[in-house]
Amino acid sequence: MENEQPFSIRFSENDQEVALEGTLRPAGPEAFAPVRARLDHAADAVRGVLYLNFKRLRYLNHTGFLELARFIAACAERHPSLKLKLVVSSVVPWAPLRFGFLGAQFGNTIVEQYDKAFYPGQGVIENDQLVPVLRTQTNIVWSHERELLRRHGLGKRMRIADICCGIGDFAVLVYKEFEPAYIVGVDHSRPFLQYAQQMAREFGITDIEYQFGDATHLFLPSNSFDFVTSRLALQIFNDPSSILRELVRICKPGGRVYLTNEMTVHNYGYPRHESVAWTYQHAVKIAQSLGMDMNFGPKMFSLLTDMGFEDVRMEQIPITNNNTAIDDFARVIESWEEYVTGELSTATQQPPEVVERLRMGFRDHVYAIRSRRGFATWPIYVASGRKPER
Amino acid sequence: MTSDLAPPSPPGPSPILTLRISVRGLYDSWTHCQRLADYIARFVASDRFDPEQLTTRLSTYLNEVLEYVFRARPSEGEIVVEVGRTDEHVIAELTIPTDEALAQRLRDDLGRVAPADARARYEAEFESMILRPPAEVGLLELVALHGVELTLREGDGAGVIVLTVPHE
Ligand SMILES: C[S@@+](CC[C@H](N)C(=O)[O-])C[C@H]1O[C@@H](n2cnc3c(N)ncnc32)[C@H](O)[C@@H]1O
Repeated sequence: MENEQPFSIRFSENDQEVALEGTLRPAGPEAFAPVRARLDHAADAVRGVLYLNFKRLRYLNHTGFLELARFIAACAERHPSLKLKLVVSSVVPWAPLRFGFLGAQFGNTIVEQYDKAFYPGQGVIENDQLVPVLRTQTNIVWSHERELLRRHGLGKRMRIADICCGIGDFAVLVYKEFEPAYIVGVDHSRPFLQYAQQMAREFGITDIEYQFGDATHLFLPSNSFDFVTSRLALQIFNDPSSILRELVRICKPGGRVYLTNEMTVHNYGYPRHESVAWTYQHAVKIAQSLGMDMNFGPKMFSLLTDMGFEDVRMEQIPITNNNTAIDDFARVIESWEEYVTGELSTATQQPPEVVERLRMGFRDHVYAIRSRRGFATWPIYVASGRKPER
Repeated sequence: MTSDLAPPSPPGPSPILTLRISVRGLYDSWTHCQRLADYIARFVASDRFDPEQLTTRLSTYLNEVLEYVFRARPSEGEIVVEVGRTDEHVIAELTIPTDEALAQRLRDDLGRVAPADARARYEAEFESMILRPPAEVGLLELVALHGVELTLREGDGAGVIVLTVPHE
């Protein structure tokens, strides 16, 4: 991030929340006094719980920290029945340490690390079990995407951000193909980022930046990227527009936001298409119970249009067993089988007979891929739009 | 050809940057502390994996030490900041010109942030520190909560605060 963020403090009476953002490094109590006045005002104005939102506070010096502690101590006296809920992010490395300490010191204070479980499927998706799935997927999608990206406006020497970059392989491919001026990948899985780092190191690549971060609260500066991508990611969030808003924010006016998502019930395999269809329908339901919308793909066009994007383009990557390396395609489905009948089924406690039937459908899909007379598809929806110049 | 082979010196940190700041220049503005801390942190972290995380941590720690120096008010001369790196740590050394009184003060303050009991002391005294923060409290917290190591080395008319920060 190249910009220094000034400090801001906002109180929303409606949400009973004070949000502190940017850099707070007061020299002493006098310099903190205006902040304290806002906090006191908020504490006077609410009942029950006052939320202190530190998600975007990047810097706090120890003087500021002690002043916050004073405020909390004063609250305990002035408003004995008021609880303070400190909402902190693991993306800011000092925050859980410091605020966790405050939570242990003060009886009126609760600390919530909001990005521990900020959407229901979190744990299941960030697990490193997913690595082989992501790898094989990128491999087969890239052969199509490489050309298609140009049609959606990606050119050479651009500033690019890949949000929810997973294991970082897409960033590497883009780096080689498009020689960006700057490219950063952000993800919220430490195992994935470690993998990304290791891979980049092995390939001798040093100028891709990988960042631990939350797509709904990016620390990247506004209006600073020519091309912002988020692939196969919006579909796993229960509130995709909260990410999309951030993608728009960091995109330059005139730049483009590029998304890919699936429509899982459109996956198809002939001849045993009923079994295949059942499995994908059921997988969608399981994912839904974890807050994901695996049929999100076709909805992107209206979403981008409604958000005010210009020149919205949408198409499909038509992956079939006729245009894709059969072994790779089969491996992708096999890794889904493993992931859905393993991780996902365990997390949602599927009965054994359901797991078995799920498995059959994946195997029938693979059969369709490999069979001389079979036909199999995995359509991926691609959409992009231009951010208005204003 | 003969040569006196010196015994191999232990591998020290490989140097990254050296900055000299006049004491007066620093005092011009409180915000110099954070500007310097941010600049140094960003520079040092730039080629690392996830530079943003390392920048945030380094800037947080350096700023705390610089604020401490700002408050300790050495009277004249230059503050030198040298930063280097080993495989596991970033090491920052801040050399501060001292007179007798300041040398003693550094000795006292840094003596009170020993890692062995930092956490226990920080916890036990937190309530009273909120009301009357001792001069070294920001440094104590670095050691107590953030796993940073702080030591003092004394030279001729100078004190060197050594900050050792694990990469991750
Ligand atoms: C299905 S994967 C897709 C990864 C990658 N774009 C690809 O196509 O291979 C979804 C990714 O979103 C990441 N993710 C989940 N929640 C996130 C958040 N709040 N912020 C950033 N990344 C997140 C996960 O760690 C995971 O890598």
